[in-house]
Amino acid sequence: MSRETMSPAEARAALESIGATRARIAAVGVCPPWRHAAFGAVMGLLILGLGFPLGVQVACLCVAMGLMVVIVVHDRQRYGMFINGYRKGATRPVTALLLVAMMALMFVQIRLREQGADDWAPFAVAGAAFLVAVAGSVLWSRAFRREMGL
Amino acid sequence: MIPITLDAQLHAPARLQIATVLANTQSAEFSRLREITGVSDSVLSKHLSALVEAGYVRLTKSALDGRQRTWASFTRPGRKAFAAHMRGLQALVASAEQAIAAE
Repeated sequence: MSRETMSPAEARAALESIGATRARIAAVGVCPPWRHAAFGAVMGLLILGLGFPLGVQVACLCVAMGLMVVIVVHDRQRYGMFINGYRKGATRPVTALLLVAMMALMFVQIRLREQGADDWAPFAVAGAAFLVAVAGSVLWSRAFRREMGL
Repeated sequence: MIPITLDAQLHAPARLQIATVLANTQSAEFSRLREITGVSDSVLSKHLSALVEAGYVRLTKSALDGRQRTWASFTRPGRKAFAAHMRGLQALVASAEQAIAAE
């Protein structure tokens, strides 16, 4: 690896350039409301399926995965960048909280199914998963933009 | 001027911009990098080739909208080199500020 020297003024200018580039990444990556809703729909579908017999579970899983592929392809087309949801940084606590919340809702859904809960129960839990996932997606985006300096 | 070791591969402004994008994303498409850096296709290609040669960047091709697109991503050494370069820049600025405060 070659090395180079630099004056403090040049170093400051380089850091400012890095800051400006990060702000551009954040500006490019602003998600429209429907994008948060689409993510919520994927998570809601995954949780909904768990409240039903295996055939419905598999169908929900397939539809959710298909929707996820559509979202990823759309993101790559629209933004020209792919940002991993599990990336290090300010977004990771949000990702961890979202995962914990989803695991808890999965557990609740499975328990309700095993206990033979009312017909509306799986939809209520899936609705909660949708709302939690949308909120998580919005918070994740905010944390990312804040980290990028916007 | 305060002597400090920095990575020459990341010194050029356009390369620093490319590295900043790749450090904050998993991968970025060629046209997006061109838009952010504001350089021509050929200049961007040269910078990316230099970063690939240094082992910092990996290029892959994938179809999007029926066209082949080039995607760039950082390798592990590239990510580490950028982090070290950032620390070097921050240390340089901090030492200059300390020197001013001490006067």
